[in-house]
Amino acid sequence: MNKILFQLFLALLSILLLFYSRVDVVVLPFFVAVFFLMVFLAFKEKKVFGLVTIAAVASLVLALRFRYLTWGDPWNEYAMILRLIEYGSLGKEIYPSQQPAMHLSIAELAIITKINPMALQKFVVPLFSVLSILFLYKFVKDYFRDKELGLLAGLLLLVGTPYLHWTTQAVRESLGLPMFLMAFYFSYKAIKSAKLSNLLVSIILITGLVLTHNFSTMIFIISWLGFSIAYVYLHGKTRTFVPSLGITLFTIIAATAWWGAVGGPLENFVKALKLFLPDNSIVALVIFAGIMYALPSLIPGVIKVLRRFLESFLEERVIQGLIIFIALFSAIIVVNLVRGKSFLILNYPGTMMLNGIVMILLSIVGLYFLLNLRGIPFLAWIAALALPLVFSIQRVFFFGDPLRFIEYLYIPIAIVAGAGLKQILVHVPRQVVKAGLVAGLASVSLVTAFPAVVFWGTPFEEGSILYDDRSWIIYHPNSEIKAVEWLDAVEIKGYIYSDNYVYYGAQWINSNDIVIEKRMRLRPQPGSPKEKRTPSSNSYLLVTERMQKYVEFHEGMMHERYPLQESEIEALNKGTSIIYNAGGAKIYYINKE
Amino acid sequence: MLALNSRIVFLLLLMSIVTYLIVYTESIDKGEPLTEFYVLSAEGKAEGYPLSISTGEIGAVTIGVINREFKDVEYLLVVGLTQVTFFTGVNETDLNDNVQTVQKKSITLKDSEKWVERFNFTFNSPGKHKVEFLLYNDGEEPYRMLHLWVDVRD
Repeated sequence: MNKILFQLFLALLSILLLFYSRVDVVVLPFFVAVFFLMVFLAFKEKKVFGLVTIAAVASLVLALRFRYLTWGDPWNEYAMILRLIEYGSLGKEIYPSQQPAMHLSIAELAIITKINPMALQKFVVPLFSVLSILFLYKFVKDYFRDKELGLLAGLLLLVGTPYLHWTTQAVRESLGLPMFLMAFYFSYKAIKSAKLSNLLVSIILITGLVLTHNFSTMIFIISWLGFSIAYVYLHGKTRTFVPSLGITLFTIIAATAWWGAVGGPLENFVKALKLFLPDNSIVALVIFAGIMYALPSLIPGVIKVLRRFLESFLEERVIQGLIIFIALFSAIIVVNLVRGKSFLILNYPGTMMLNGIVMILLSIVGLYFLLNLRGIPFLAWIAALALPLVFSIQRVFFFGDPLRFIEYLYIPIAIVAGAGLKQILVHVPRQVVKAGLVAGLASVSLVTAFPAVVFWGTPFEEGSILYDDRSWIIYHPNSEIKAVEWLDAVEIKGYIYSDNYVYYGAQWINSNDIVIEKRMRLRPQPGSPKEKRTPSSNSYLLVTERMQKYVEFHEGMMHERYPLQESEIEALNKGTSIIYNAGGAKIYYINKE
Repeated sequence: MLALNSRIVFLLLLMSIVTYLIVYTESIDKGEPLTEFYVLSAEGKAEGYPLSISTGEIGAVTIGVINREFKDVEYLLVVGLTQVTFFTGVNETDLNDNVQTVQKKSITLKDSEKWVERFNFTFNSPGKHKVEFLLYNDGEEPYRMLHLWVDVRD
């Protein structure tokens, strides 16, 4: 108990240090030291409580570090929450998101508690992600009957760059991830135990997932198909295939019904299915799934032979080497594609890729130890997700944002990498050294997962190894927010022109009675069709200090970014009136009349 | 049993402290200090600015300052009128940048305090004019600058 209290004390201390870093960044190294100590103690004692406190602290990094919501997407969520509070309606014209679990929960909580909804969103939503780590731990512990592997997989996921990226933002994914993992855990329990109670919990959680995040639901369908089909073939019993098929059918029906009703990604989903299945693909998928799941029960003899063959096949050294080589080669291709310019212009710095490279290396080691019947469902899960990821990156068919695929791909990868790390740690003689290595790995991963401004307190100059232009966009300075608030307060009617991140930060203005169109470009092109269609004669150009270092317009997503030049600012000053100035943000007024 | 209860109480106490600190710190953190300086139309809107007037006609605007510096600040507001002729050449240069200061005003604002005042201006010659609003804090260089470009007709 004293150890639990000490972990809590460390969590409290780390929270305070992160808070205080808003005033003085000098405390950030102390935060990292406390985080190291938390991981060290959790792994020295092998306590799941320690893992949970680490997950809680890591999930709150951005909420504690910055005053406002960060990046872009959380502002869209905030706008949706404000709409629900203001209009009290889930109608599509008022509430276009139509994924109400998170927005409605925060809106209701804000109404009941009278706490600022932004504060609730920032803190409550990321904290939910603790459940994803807890349920991943339980899942791995139950499946492999290995507590240490559960702890390692949980830790590797919680300090994984894509996982941290989405959980710390307070977006639908932050809630989608725990819903996904809880639903996955209870679905696994349902097929393992064939207990109705587990099946019911699983169905309730899947319903919650459908109402939380469309993309997470689609990933669940793909992941569950991969994992459960492999599981059913390995444990070919009727009591296994019935709940597996039931969960698959329920998820597909619930998701497609909801998407059909609210206009979710049903069209994309069906188009994607048509790549593999003929017309009427939802029905085809249901029939295909039914046959796939039932087959082991229909031809048990053949399946037994196949299973025996697979077992001996995987024991062959040449096959193991070949699979590991293919996995390594595929990982290099994915890293190269993400790193390169085949999709969006990402320009991730080397430091941020560090965690991904470590995970690949650990996974290669783990793969060797999971190349057996027990590990096959996890490898099938990875393969099922990797296929649409590569399709999306290569634009064969765009299932969704590849970065979101990687976020979910990290879950099974964390399990495989955990197995790899465990095998490496076996060769380390003392528990203290083991815990120290794990704590070092986790701390370095946490620090390098975010742009430099988060843990170094400063964006580095271009040319430095730590330079990361995302430092300019992860947080929204006070001047930018005040400028947006001012535009809202004076009830402008017209267009705001600015970059992507101001656009995101200004989303919530739309929750008021006036609807402001926002164009993500520097200014209207005189005489352009868009400019001619402008109903109002007023336009407002919001220029921030950041834009002289980094600027991203919507149309620039596929191009290299370029900062606003001094000559462009001078030209603006000479031709346009400045009506607002908060230092770091200025508003220019453009009048067509 | 007593030991278990005291541990639960201690845990709850710790959790309460964390929650309180989060809520408290979040409520007192106001972000980086800044001053908002703005100009609105006479009606107090960000539209309908007097950007096109006739000679002798009075143009009216509303000037506003909001102190968000977390301390009392003494500002100096200077309003200047300039007739500007642009020379179109290799470098665009102001041919005439004689600023005619028409108003100087000291403003002292407490933290979070707002100051708003109406300001009238007029021009006697046609052409392109600049109404410049300069806000000084404690330096010689303006702390905040705004301007309106006004076309003055005969």
